[in-house]
Amino acid sequence: MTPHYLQLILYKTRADLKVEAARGYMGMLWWVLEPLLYMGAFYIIFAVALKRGGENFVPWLLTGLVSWKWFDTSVRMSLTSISAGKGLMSQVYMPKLFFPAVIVLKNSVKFLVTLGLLLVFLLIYGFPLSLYWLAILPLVGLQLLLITGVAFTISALTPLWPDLKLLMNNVLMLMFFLSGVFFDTSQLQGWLSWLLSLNPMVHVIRAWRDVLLNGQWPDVPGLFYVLLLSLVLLVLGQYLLKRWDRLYPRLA
Amino acid sequence: MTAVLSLEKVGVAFRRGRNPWRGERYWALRDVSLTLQQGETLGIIGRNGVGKTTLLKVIAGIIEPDKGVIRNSGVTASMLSLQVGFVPLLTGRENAVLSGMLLGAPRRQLERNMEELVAFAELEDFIDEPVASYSAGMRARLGFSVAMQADPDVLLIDEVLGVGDAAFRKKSSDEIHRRIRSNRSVILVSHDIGTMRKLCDRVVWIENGVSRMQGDVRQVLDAYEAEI
Repeated sequence: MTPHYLQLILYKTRADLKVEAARGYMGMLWWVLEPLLYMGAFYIIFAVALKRGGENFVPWLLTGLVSWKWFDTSVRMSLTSISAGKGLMSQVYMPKLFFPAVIVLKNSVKFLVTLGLLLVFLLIYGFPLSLYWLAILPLVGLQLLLITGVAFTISALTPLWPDLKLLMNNVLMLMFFLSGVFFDTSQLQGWLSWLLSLNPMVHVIRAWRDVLLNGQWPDVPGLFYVLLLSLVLLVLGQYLLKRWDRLYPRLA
Repeated sequence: MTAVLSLEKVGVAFRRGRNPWRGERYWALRDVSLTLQQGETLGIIGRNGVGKTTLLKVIAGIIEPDKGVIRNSGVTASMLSLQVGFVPLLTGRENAVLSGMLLGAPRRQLERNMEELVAFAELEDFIDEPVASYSAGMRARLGFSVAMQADPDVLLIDEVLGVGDAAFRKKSSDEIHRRIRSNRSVILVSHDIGTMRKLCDRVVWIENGVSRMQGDVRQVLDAYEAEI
């Protein structure tokens, strides 16, 4: 990746964010409003209607949701990123990494806004500003790495295997329910617990809760697994995108 | 004379159906050989659907040939494309930077030449308006001016067409002609024999995906004309 394409990725990301803000009358307000509405809906369903959970259920739920949404939206959008860029890539050559990279960056900026909101909410709710919040930065970095790895790999595969798009929609839903957004995965035991722990988002969400809510450092072996998986996916995705670099423009 | 680029027995096969590894193959290009010398304008002539556009895509590095060899002495080659990656909701200025960068021009160069670019496109009063509010002609003018910022070693042109209204059409086609005549290496695709005679140093004739004849402009074009 030459500096030129890096600059191009950044410029395109900024442009896309600007376009999104320009699309409605309320502009950038939506970056705040959208996560609020999203979280509000879950809050109403689980805390008010179903009366689930005990003390601190709402912050616990929101922390999981914010982290999940970043993953989910980025992955969903990168599924179609390369086919959406077909017009562009048949006119000029570009490394195909460009397309998923822009998606991931764009969603990461929006995530940071949401994360800011969440932190403000937690402080107002009464959680103390703790030393453990220092782990936020590496945690953001780790989840970014995971998202990038997944995004590169699936964006490379879907144009050649379009069924992956339908499959991933269901996999993402399953992962959502099994990532511990709604229940405490640490209370499960036996083979089920082992099976769930294969889902990297289980570890990431647990780490977010440890750091932000439980006042403790996250579980290192779990995160090490996430790091390893992310690196493998990152290398694999990059390899595939490079390997089929000049094949994608030919696909219908 | 040094060759900047050469193709030897290049073929490109597409597959029918979605699967790129299965399905019946058909050869859009079968056997094309050509050489581009430093600074010359090489014309490619042939009827519709003989694979001229596919050939330009191969030379631009957008797709890879299925057989044959491309020898490149380390030059960049790209197609002259207009309005690449334009986003309607962005301003003319932002689109100029984005599109220019997609065409390979460095961001700093685009920002430095912006005034000149805007003046050429005759969009001084509108450059900070969203392109969605432009007329088709204004968009074409901006697209052309941006494309002129791209500076590949080998310029690939698919039909020399002016864009916009009569006055701008003249100005834009003059500009392309100026570039073609300059010391740049150009590959020019056209089915207009008149244009070819005027602009090219040598011509390649492609028929059914095969390079049938290559060489002197008059010789090749006369043979081509006799055939069709």
